[in-house]
Amino acid sequence: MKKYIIISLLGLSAITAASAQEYKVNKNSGKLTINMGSVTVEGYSGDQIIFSSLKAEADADPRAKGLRAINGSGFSDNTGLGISVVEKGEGIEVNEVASSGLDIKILVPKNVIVSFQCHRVQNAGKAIFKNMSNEIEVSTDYNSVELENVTGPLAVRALYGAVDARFSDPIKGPISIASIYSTVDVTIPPTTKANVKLSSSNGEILASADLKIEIEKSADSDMVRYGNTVNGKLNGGGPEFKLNAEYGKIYLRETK
Amino acid sequence: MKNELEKFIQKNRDEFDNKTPDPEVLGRILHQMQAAEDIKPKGILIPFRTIRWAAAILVLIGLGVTFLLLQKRPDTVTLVKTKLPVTGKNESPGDDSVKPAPSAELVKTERTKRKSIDAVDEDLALRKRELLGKLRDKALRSEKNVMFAGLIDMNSSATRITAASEAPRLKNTGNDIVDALLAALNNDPNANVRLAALDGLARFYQETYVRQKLIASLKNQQDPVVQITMINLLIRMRESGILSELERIINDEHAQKAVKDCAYSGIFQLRSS
Repeated sequence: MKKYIIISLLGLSAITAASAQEYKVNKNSGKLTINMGSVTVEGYSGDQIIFSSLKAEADADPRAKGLRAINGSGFSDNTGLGISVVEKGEGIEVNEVASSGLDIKILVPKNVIVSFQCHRVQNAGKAIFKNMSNEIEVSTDYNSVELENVTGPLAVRALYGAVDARFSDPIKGPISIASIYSTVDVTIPPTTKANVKLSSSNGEILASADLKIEIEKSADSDMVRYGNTVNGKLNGGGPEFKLNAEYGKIYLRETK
Repeated sequence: MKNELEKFIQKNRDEFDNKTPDPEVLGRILHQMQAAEDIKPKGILIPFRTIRWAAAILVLIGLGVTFLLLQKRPDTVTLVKTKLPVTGKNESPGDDSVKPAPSAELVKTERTKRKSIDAVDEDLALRKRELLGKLRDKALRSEKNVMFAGLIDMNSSATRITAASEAPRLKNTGNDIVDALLAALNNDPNANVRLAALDGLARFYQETYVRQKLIASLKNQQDPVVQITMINLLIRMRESGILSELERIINDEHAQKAVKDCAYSGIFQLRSS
């Protein structure tokens, strides 16, 4: 019997070691700064930040065996995944080293603040955030941003890429999504309490009829009014909830 | 035929019995039987035990986790509960416990001298009023301090956004609130925080000090998201002081198209109004 157990354990560990290349950092607080073109970040309850590659083994370059990616930016691949993960101050910083074909997934403990930044055109892909009650900061020019099952606090600044956010109860403020050309598509639970501020100078604001927003009439009559601005309280008011799209459309839906 | 065969068998019975199988065969059979017996009970018994152990361990872990989770939550609640009364108790019980005691003594010893009791009561009321005033002052100041601390919490941009959006609700003494918001608008690394600060400053739009600072700030902003929101706010404020800056943006090669568009429409609106 012991033999079987040992053999099966050995087999299991061999399988996990072979199939999933992982890089782990012991950290359950502080800030994780991600400077990458695209990434998938998921929340989980653990004490480690776990980096893994979603790329299939078959795609691996056979010539690259035994070599690691380097580039002129000063970052070196210390993970074997094509990314550099270094401690910086109280936080962790992630940078791309391999120039293409990265598909990185990061599992993040609950109390780590996640900050994603990308202002380049090259390799700008999707930034996906799933199942997170963490504080999230996003600042992008060309990336599209997808947030699913998040609670906030959230600060997104986008330029050209669309922002899709599906919130889950209970929403923790402040929520701030600001964009210029991007579409802002937000889904919230119908019971959400929030102080809602929606504004767009040249776009349209579309909201579900089932969301009861008590719209405040703006008191400052001295200012010129143009564009579209909605200030109001949702279900009696609550945390700050700001959506802004200067030239894009704002969609505010409720979860079904 | 049958009888012959039977007879033959009866005659040669002994010879038949003599033929015994190879002892090794029996040995092998016995060995196999033993092995089968050995494996079966072990195969069934040991997993059962391990499963029981595993189940017991799982239950224990589950209980431990739920216990920890349950314990953690009440902890925070009790912390808050115990903290809250402390702020109230810190000042008032000290006075209350000192003053009522002498007054009670006074009542016992000098019942006839009512005037002195009234005086004590008045004194008490006065002190209470003073204390309450001080507390209110402290609360205001601490609220401000919390806001100022929040505005420079570099770890969490959410804290800074909250602070920036709460700032306009506080009293602006000597432009301290406005200056804090301006500092955030000009120096904060996060665009959303700068936007929140701008939003907060928009409430002071009638003050010339704020207008001047906003015009100065527009020149330093690099982020198109903030630039556009700022230009739009200044247009709404009918601040024609930004016209020269808007013209500079239009002629700037590096300015983003979105910002240029906004500057164009700004010039158009400011000149026509």
